[in-house]
Amino acid sequence: MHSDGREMYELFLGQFTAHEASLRAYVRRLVPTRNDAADVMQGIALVLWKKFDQLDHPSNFRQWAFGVARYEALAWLRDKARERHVFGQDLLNTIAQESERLDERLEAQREALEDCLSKMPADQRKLVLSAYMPGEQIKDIASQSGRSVGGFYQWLHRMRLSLLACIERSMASEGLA
Amino acid sequence: MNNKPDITALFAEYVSGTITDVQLRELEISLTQDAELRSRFIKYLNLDSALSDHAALSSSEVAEIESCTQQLTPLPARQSRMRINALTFATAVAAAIVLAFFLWPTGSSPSQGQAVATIVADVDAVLHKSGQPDSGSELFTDEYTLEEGLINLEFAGGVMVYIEAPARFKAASDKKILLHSGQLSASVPQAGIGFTVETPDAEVVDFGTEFSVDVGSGASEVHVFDGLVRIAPRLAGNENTESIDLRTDQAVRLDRQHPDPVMIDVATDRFIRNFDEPHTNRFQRMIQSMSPVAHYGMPIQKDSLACDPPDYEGKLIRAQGASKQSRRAKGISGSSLRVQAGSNGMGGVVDTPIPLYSGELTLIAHVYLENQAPNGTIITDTPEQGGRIMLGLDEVGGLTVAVQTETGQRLSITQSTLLPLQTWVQVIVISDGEKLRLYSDGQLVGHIKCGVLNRAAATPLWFGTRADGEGLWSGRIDEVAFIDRAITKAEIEKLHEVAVKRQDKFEDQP
Repeated sequence: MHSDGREMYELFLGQFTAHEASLRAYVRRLVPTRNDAADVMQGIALVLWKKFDQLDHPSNFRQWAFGVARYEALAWLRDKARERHVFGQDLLNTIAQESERLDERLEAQREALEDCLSKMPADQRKLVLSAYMPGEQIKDIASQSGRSVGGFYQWLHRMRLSLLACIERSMASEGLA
Repeated sequence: MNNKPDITALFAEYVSGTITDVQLRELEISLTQDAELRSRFIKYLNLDSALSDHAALSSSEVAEIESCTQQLTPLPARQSRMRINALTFATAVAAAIVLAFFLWPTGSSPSQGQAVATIVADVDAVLHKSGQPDSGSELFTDEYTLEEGLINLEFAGGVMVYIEAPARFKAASDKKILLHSGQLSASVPQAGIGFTVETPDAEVVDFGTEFSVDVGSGASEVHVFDGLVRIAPRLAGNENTESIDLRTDQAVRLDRQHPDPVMIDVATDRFIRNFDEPHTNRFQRMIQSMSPVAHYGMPIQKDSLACDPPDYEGKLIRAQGASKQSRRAKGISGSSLRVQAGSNGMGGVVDTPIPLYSGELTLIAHVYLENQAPNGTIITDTPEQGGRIMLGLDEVGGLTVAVQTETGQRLSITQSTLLPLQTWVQVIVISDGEKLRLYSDGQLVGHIKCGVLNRAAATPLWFGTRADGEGLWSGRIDEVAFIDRAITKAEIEKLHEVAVKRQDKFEDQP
């Protein structure tokens, strides 16, 4: 890679890593599962790098990347609609638009999560995060916690709702609600 | 009125990839119609993503990275920055690749050994495998006893099976279950055609449908709610009995004392055929359109008496060591709360008083009396001790409502006939500040002059029992709503019209 290419690559990496979490969270809101989001994100990373030279100014990276992410996610969903249950395009478009509008608030929500996780009893926090760890099998985690898979999913759902309630309270106390 | 607290359960199904086509459609309709619910959905997925980020790097991995970092020789400034950026990008891509291969296990992880089915969900379930308690998430080719509660199993081809305790069965293969005793319902998609339930009296082969099987001590019954089922009877004394094809809304009884199968009425109100409470059917929409202060749809939720809104949620009470049927039963819409009637249910209680501001009140309840229950309670906040209303039966079994007004006056209306057994009855109590009226299945039972009910009631609200544990109901209670106004005659008629087209028909109505 010669120096111009290296400069470009470095610039791209800086932008991509700065916005990658937001992009992944955005994609996550459009596709059904985390596996799907990871799948779509790989494609988005490649498209963003290939087309990076078309971006007029680095300051527009975020808006441009969100547009690419939306297009890629909806295209992926169109493909998957033939073989899997996915939402219709109208609802997906609405969710995409509203997600973009809420993005600042959603980012604050993600930031508030850490504080709420720290308030959870340690054993519950460990159990919640273990369900999200790459390579972990839910049936093993459920079994270790003395629950059936179905029971564990129900518990996990309640924990998510509790965390959301905590985040709402935390944001309200900081005047972000 | 909104239905978010109930439908948020579908959020979990959605993110885990276990959502069914029907559930997805239900969620899609609700999300399309309700902007606030959409906002909650977006936040829920945002949280899911953030949790994933948090968990992507375990604390042990962080410790490992930190120990490696300490061994590195520092690089010149520019080179160091490049390395860090490249490392961050590589980590991000690696995380994406790892996540892409990470299997959310209920859907796609292969079964191990001789596992033939997955336990998708359970409610208060006590399951024994070959006589030993079993808390696993898979079913093997073994003998099982469901001592208490409900379980939802998934067999090959997406066949969903719901079993109600008490039941004995053997998972014979990923396409076959032997039901020795108890109640089972199956929902068989196209990919699961050929799924078979074997009972002591018959082999039931499914051709893509929804059906239930009930095996008692001397007979088996097969009820078909949708599609086609082929039954090969195995009745003693009649070896040549031909196969029977049962279609939608048909049912048959195979009695070991009789050589021939007997056609019977399909039992739409006996079997739990889904753990999901419908949210968008006509009945639910009707109730919601009246903007109740509190609506108890009686969804299947462990130990919880769920309410919309959740501010008035309560808890269930269970008998210890008594009978083993579930406290959850088929309801008039979705599931219902069962009290006694062979179950371990002893009712429920809500500690937070339901506020009423207008001086008017409508109470709607749907009840199914399985056995005579003189003085049985449907709902009470103990009017004789400062509450406002008691709905139940009198000492002979007639429907009765007793109230306390703001001036401390206590009044009641009682139906002179007995509440019928084993059928759903819609009961409505209306107080408009001048009169108290009691309706049963749309018909006025009686009315009495009555002032504004006690708005200051602060006593707990009991379902299916009195506060002292006496006066137990014996049957089911479903779809209870408190409305802070007197509903109109037209609304009463409409509620009744929807109720007569009730039960299973609700599940399918968009």
